[in-house]
Amino acid sequence: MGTLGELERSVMDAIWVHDDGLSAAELREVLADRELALTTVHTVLSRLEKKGFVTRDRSIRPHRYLAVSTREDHVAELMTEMLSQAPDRQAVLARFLGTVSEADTKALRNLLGRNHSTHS
Amino acid sequence: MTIVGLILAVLAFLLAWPIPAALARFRGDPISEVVLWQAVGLSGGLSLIGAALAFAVAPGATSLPSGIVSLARGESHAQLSIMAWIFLIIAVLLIGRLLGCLILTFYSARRARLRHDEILHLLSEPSATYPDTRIITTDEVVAYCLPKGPRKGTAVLSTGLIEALDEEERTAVIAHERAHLDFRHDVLVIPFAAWHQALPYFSATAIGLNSVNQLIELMADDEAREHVDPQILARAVRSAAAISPDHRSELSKQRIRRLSRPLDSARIPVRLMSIGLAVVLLLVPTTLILAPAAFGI
Repeated sequence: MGTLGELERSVMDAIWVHDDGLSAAELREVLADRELALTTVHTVLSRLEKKGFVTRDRSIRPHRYLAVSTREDHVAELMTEMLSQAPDRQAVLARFLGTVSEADTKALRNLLGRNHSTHS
Repeated sequence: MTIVGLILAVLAFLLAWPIPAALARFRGDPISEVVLWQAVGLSGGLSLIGAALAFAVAPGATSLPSGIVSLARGESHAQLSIMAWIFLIIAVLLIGRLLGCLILTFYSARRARLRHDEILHLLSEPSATYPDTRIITTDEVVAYCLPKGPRKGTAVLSTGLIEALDEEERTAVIAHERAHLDFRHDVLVIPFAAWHQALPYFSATAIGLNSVNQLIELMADDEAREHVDPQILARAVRSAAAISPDHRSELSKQRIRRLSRPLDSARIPVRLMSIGLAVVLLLVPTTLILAPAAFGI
């Protein structure tokens, strides 16, 4: 699981820096130093698609994979969850040392709001 | 049965307002306080439901269980008046709401945790220094933990925090987070998150949730003392407070004060007394509900 998780992270890192998306073959080129088989790339991509991190553009061949949200939006999502005052969210994470400031909270919320509106 | 209903209603009132208000002001051993909070939450819910049920079966029944049994059998002496019906419906709705929220909170917290974990794994790297710890790249000064299964889970540090604290302080913060994970402090919060969701207009549920959330911080500090110097943990809290205004809370001050002193030597007897008190708190409504006939009321 550890190596698969690491692979998913590398794939996401590559997709996040390519705004136009990548095909599986291009992705294999970007991650050439890992010497991945194309089927491995496909497996990782479909896992990420199932988890909702990437979408597949099926209008062109070969299919292109795009990030659903930016890296920053995902970080904001985690931080907002940590800050959440909603009771069911307070039970999610067993406490933390430190939170972000009120101004940052607003900025994060705005970021998340924008993210939601572009995807709905 | 009406007298039993009245006693339970008074008990529910006491557990809904004066007792939680007093408990929130009490500053002693955090474990004792958490035990008492759990007892107050359970006993309050039992009293509230018990009171409604007692009023519903009031005429003719000698005890609540027998009243409910004859009600279920449709026996003639258990014919319900309109008022009784109203109380019965209130009782059923309350039971449904409290249990429903408990189950819902448990599963929604679990689902949110799994999702958080999925995203976290894409955004963070495992720490080379600390076991079961991940480092997330963000300027925010944060440390938290993500519980997952018995005695597992992940501590998370931000790169912002790593820059803000020295190595000793970081180790102390990790010891604090591991205490949360090892002792499953999240489980202590779940019932209060559920009670607050079920009855948001009851100030007691908000006070309870807030208190338990703060108490688990003190509990984690106390536990971390076993592994790290409390002075260093206090320094970490102070350093975090110096960077982010949000850390300058009453809780941070209380933590620093506690960490600067040795643990109260009377905490064990206080704990035993609190457990005793918690048992009494739970036994009173339970006895009233199950065996009122024994007392001739």
